[in-house]
This record gives sequence, C-alpha cells and structure tokens, in this order.
Amino acid sequence: MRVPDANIGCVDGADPTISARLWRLTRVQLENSLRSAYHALVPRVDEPLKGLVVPFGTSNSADRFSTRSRSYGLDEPSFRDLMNATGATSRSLVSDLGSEACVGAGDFSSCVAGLVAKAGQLFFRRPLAAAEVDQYAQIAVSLRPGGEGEAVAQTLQAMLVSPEVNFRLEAGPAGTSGPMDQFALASAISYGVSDSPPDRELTELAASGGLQSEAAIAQQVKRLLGSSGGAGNVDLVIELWPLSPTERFFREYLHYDYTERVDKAGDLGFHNPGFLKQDTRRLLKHMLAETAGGGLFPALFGTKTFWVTWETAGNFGLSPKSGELGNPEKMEMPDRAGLLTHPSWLSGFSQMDHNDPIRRGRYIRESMLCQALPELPIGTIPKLDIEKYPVLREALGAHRADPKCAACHQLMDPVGFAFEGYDHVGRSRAMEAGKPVDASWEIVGATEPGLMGVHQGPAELGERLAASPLVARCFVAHSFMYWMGREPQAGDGCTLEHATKAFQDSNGSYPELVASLLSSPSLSLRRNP
Amino acid sequence: MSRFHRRAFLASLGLTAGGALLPGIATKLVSRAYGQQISQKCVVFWFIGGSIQIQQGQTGWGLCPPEFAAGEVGTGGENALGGSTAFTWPKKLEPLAGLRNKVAIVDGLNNITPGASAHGSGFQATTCAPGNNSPGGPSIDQAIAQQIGTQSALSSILVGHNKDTLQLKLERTADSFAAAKGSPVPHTTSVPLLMRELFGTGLSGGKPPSPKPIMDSLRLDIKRLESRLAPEERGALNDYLRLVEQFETQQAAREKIVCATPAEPAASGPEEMATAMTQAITLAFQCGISPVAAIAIGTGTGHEDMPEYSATTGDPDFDGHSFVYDYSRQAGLIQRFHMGLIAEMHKALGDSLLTVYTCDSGMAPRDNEAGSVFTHHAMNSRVPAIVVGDLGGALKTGGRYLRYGVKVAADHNNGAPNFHSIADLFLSVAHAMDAPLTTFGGPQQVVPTAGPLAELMG
Repeated sequence: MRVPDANIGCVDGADPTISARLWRLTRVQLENSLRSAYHALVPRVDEPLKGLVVPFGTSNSADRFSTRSRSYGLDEPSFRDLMNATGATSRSLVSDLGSEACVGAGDFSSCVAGLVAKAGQLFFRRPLAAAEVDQYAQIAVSLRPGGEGEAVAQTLQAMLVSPEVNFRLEAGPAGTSGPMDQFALASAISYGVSDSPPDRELTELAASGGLQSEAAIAQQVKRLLGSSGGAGNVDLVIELWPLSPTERFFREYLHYDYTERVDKAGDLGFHNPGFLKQDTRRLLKHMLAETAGGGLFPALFGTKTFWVTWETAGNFGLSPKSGELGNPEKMEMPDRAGLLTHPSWLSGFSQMDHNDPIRRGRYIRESMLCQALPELPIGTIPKLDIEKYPVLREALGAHRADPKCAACHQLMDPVGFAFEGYDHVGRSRAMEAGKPVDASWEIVGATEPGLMGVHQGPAELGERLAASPLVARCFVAHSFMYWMGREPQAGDGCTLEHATKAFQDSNGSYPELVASLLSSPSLSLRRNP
Repeated sequence: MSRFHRRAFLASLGLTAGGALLPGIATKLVSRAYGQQISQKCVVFWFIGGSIQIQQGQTGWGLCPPEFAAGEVGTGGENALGGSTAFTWPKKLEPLAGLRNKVAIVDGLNNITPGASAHGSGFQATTCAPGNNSPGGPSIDQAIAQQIGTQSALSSILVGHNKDTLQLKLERTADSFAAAKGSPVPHTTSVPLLMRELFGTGLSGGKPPSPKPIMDSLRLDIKRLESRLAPEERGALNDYLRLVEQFETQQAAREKIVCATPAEPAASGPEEMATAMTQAITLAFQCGISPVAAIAIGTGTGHEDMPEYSATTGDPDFDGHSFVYDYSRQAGLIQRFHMGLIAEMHKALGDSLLTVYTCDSGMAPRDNEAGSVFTHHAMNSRVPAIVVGDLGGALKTGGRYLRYGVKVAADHNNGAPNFHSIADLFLSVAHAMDAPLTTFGGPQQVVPTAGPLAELMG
C-alpha cells in the first residue's frame, strides 16, 4: 500500500511546482460532463443520454486512492466505448437540436462554426481558439455532401473524443513555470470537489481571471462542498446514487466497504454487507454535515451515535421485534466509539470466522500513523496454533515469540487487539473461547506521549488518535494524496503544514482542510514545456 | 485442417447477415457450430486464482500423475522429462480424456520473480515481471496479440471474473493483463458487455460511417497537446495515438466480417458466466473477430479471489484459499468444470485452437490437504500448466507428462540443466502461434527465459 510521508516539513524555498499533466476523467465525471453539456445545448431535454454506456469504469484497486492521476491512461476497450458513447451522444444531439444543428441552414459553414464554438466551450470547459473552431467546422463542411446531419454529428463527435475533453489538462502558458490556466484551475477544482464540470459562476470567474488568489479559490471550494461539508444530500444513501468525492475519500480512507469482500462462514442469518455499507455511508454523511464547521476527529474516532436498520441490527447485537426499529433508526451505542467500531469496518477487517488483529493493526499503522509496513515475506507460511491457543491473542503471542515474525507483528498485533471486544461480524463480546476478552492495546515504538503505553479498548484508542498531532498530519497527507491525485513530495511541505494548521485552527473542519489543499500552490503551479 | 467459410457456415445455420436471434439461442448457436473448423490459429490462456494442486494428496485431485509423485523434486530432471504417456489420467482432466493425445501436462516450470510483490498474483503471473499495483511488462496474451492480432477486429478478447467482480457486479476490472509496463488492459467481467463488444456493432456486413475525419482531427488534437506536456507526461497521449491507429485497422477488419449477432445468453453464477464467455469466444474465433483470448478466473491481488462455484463444489463458502482443508478437492472440481468448457471449445475449433491453462502466481500447494508444502506467490518453482491442442503439429502435446525443474537451490538454479521458467512455455506458445518472441518477462527479464521448450515444440 502506498503510504504518504506525514513528516515532510515546510522549508523556505521548497518548490511545489510539478510538470503540466493530464488527468483522465472518471466514468462519473465524463457522464456528468456529457449530460451537463447536452442539457446546456438542449435545455428542454431534462435527462439526456439515459442508458449511455460511458467508459472509464475501472480503477486500479491496488492504489491507495482511486484518484491517483498517473494510474489512468487509455486502453483498447475504453477507446471503443468512448467511440460508441461519443457517437451516440453526437447523433442524439443533432436530433434534439433540430434546426440548431444547422441542417438545412442557409449558410451551413457559418452556422456550424457557431455551433462548434458554443459546444466547444461546454465540451472543453474553455473557449476554443479560432483555429480550433475552424479545424472542427471543416469536418462538417467536408462531409456535407454525404448528408448534413451526419456531417454535424461527426463534427461533434470529433470534439467529444478529443483528449482534452476526456482528460483534464493542468497546464499554463508554454515555456512558463507558474499558475495553471484559469479555466484549467476551474476544472481542477470543480471535478475534484463535485465530479462535475465548472458551473456558470466558476466559469465566469475563470474568464475574468478571478481565481488568482488562494482566498478566492478556497471560497469556491467551500461553495462547491456546500453546507453538508461535501456529503451531498444526507438522505440519499442508495447504492445507485454515486458517492460525492468527499464521501469517496472517507470510504477509501476507512475501507469500510471491505465488509463486502469477506465472506463469513456459516449461515448467520443477519449479516448483510451491502446494508452495513449503506448504514456507514449514512453515518458518515451526517457526520460530515454536522462537523462541517469543526469537530471531525472526535466524531470520527469517538461517535457513539450509529444508524441501524432492520438488516444490520444483528451486527450491532440487537434482535428487534417487528416494529421496534425505525428504518433507519439513529441509536446511541455506549459500547462503541467511532467509525472503527462500526460493524462494517470490523467485519471487513476480519476473516471468515475470526477477527484479524493483524490487518486491523496494520491499518492503524499505515492509515493513521503513516508508517509503511512490509508485505508478508515471500515464502513465508503463516500458521497459528489455534488448537493449542484457542484465544487468538494468545496464538498471536506465540507467533510473535519467533523473532523473525515479531519484527513486523509487534507493530501490528498489539494495536489491533484494541478491537477484540467485538467479533468478526462486529458484535460486542465479553468472552472468547471461554475466557474474558482482553482488549488492551499498545502502539509499540510510539514516540508521541499520547500514543505511548498500554491502554484499554477502542474508546481510549479513539481518544488518543483524535488528539494526536501525528494522526492529524497523517490524515492530511492522505487527504493530499486523494485530492491532488499524487503523493506529497519534498516541495509540498508547506502545503501540508498549512492544511494541517487550517484543520486544527478550525477545530477539525474537513471543508477547511480541503479548501486549504485545493487553493495551495501544490495544486496550481505547473512547469510548462 | 479443414477450412471453414464464415459466410457459408452462417448460411448453413440460416443466420444470414443481420438475422435476429431469439434470446437464449447463443448456446445453441455455438453447439451447432461444433465440428466446424477454421483456418486461423487461435489461442486461449486461462489464468486461475488460488492455485492448481500438484500432488494427489488425500483426496486424489492433484495434477501430477501418481506414477511420478515419488520423484516430486528430482535432482537432474530425470523424472519423465522425455514425456511419458503411460500414466493415470488426472481426475481434474477427465473431460479432456477424449482429447488425451492432444494434451500435455507441463510440470515444474519456475516463476521465481525477484522483486515481486508477495500478493501481486494477477499481473505477475501473466507478465513474468514484478508488478502488483501496476504491471511490469506486457502479459503474454497481449505480447502475442501485438504480433498477430493487430489486423483483426479485436486484437484480443479478455474476459474473466473473480469474487469482487461478481459481488460488486463490475463490468470490467484491470488486474491481470497488460499492454506494456504500467499499462493494464481491463478484461470484461460482464457477459452482456462481452456480447456487445464482440457482436454488438458492425458485424452485420453493413458499413458504419467512416471515422477517418474524426481520427484525423484527433491526431491534430493529440499533436497540439503533446507540445504542452513534458515527455514523461505524454503516456496517455501516446496511448491515444496508438489506439487511433489501431481503431482504424480494427474498423477496416470489422467491415469485412459477416457474422450473425447472437442473442445474449442468461448468465448469473460463475458457472454460467464461464460457459457463456467461452461460448462467446468460440463464436468470435469462428467469426474471425480475434485470434487471441485470455480468461482470468479468481485472479487478483489476494488469495481469496476465486468465486464460490457453489453449484460445482457444493460449498457456498468456498473461499479459494489453499490453506483451507478440502481446498484441493473443491478447486479440483472447479478446474474439472473448466476442463469441460475447454473440451467443448476444442470440439468446436479442432486443430485451430490452442489452450494454455495455468494458475496465477498464488500459492501452489503440494502434499496433503491444507498442505504441508506451499510455494508462496512469486516463489513458485513448480508452476503447473495444461496445454491442450497442437495446432496441427506446431506443438508436440501428445498426451505427455513433461516434468521440468531441478531441486531449487539458493540461486534458483538459473542456467542449470532442465531449468525452465513459465516464460519459456509462453515463448513456446508464441512460436506455435507464429509470433516468434525471443524473450518474455518485462524490461528487466527478471524471470529468465531460455527460449521455447524443445520438448514441446513440433
């Protein structure tokens, strides 16, 4: 797993400028772009392009975050899909545009040039240069003898398949090193925060050069995040409704969706990973909205308020009778503390029939403390003597008696034991194999006073993680990776420091953190050949 | 080899160009096609997650014939390297019994991949190069497709499924195949999407609008953008340019194909999906859509990616992890099911088809159930493979058991007698397919190649 460096310092003169780059749109972003442009061109069509198969649906699941810009190029199947989708879109547009599609227009070439300029602004998210308008309009003129409708459709398709439409170009003027183009910046902000092309306000600001200052950019970021702190409509949690970029960050940061990847042994009769995921999404949405002005960490690591549905009650150890539980029901759970005690996370970081303190501990190390751990060494045959040590903690203790194993396992197991008070599907438990559960934990080798020592249970872990400066820096570094689409480098130290300060000064407001990152020179500065 | 005329074949079935088919008829279509052969050589690579049990163990589902089990780790390749044909036919290969003289069991190939990630089992198996997050080189299917598939409507057909793609209902995933270092190529994990890709457009003999003006404009756009990016940031543009050229070639090839569009078969569970996918590939080969296919089942970046195949194993909790007791019997049942599909494909395509069935670089358990000897991940010194077909004599399969490898030493015996890597088998297949690759295994050649396997080449 890629683990960012949380300890890059702010050094005078460090340069965060990176090379101009292309960043491919995701399927959702491309879909939103096509629909948005379509609707702007043909406002009377409310829901255009229903059923369109849009490419770019795959992501590299092995990346830490799905936004890593370098992971995305173009492949043969995607190109075929792109050709099909843009062909269908352009032909549908010509049909819906009617007379505006220039079919039968007196001055065909002038009409097409006007359409190209108008559509180009929407497709490319910037005004087209005269030479570009001419290039595309010439296609229609050359194909006109074969039929004006098809000629215009192919012209629009030629624009829609352009790399600058399907990728975002983050670049400035040739031969310079400095802020990227204002329209490119508007797209970077808008796609980053909302998965959509720039709206009218952002486009007008870009056109007037209004995205020069960090304050102006931060203001736009916060506007796009909205009052729910980027969570969108807090009541929309159905699977079909795409996650907002902020929601996606938390899903990828917490991996609560791993619950769907671990089958559980036997017929439990209540374990529904899809509903657990949905409950977690609902909880996070409410949490993000409620902490938009501050207080994210105490909630993330300590909340005792959970959303429960009929389908997930069993994972919370509840057996409601019909009618006893709302759907969903907001409930206080005194035996839980934070998202890491949600059954979705606990069941995802478990095995089929038992807990997995190793993976839980590894997650804390890598995602909360930014400490990379090596993978299981090649050739290693992990075996736990469960027959001799039916209590998992004891079996792992015996495993760590081997110094070769202990080198890594002492970093993972002892902190992973914090969650031993729950079973592999997230239910609270007091006993394991006939013995009282021991949920004491330790972050071996911790140097921060608040993280040192042996402590009890997940509530104490949550409190200490929430108060830790290292955890805050690590969280910011992960956020940097997600929102910037790359790992932080030496030149990004000041960006990380300022973002951490923005987060802490706002008492833990995630919108403040995101606004600080996206208005930083680490996003805007580009070296242009 | 008898020649097969696509147009004549379709006419014989009453499926003239553009003829509509009733839902569910695809299966019948393919079954009616069995016995028809084609002139073009075709190859299918199967990569199976979770491993292929080698030794017979307690359940007797191993690949290595019991007659040779005693020499499991030979010291000089003395163990039947000449290719014995007198052995007990492995249980998991039962469906291939009728094709026995066209099958070779290849045992003992090495896939030791220095620098490999412990869990990079998908890409590492197909590329013979390190690569977990990102492939370290082209996968063998793409390396061959780049040589013999460039003039086809599709250079290759990539399909498969694993636990995630089934549970999350993904249409594509990109964890197994690659065009080049750092360039994964997604494979299709949805039957409806596969049917659209293969048969959805442009196969009715009609001529779609020429994309030339669009492609010419696209070339100008790419050129304009190139000047704005440093060379190291132009990877996506290079992809674009390559795909523009390829698309034009493919469109031209597609226009020449006259082939009926079959209806979409119903396919929900992994068995049905695998069946539908292999039938679609068979028909696509018969239509001349592509000469190369690869199937990734249960591959990915972990141990537990193999779908349940519960209708076959009878176990809805089968997790594809070879630590689990009874794994080899259940995996054997799944693999026997695959062999049935392979047998059907060979019946349909005859000497035109070559199949290579091997595992990803997950564990290869030997010995007993929940095995006492494992070779982990990219440390496999004994990768098993099943080769079916001889392409009319291009390969000497001949119903033989070919045992490679010598006792593994610290230096992995590079260069020792009878040391051969899985890359050498891939090279053999490439040569038999008229794609004479000289090396394989990524830019660094981390998995050594010594050339095609002399014992297998015709």
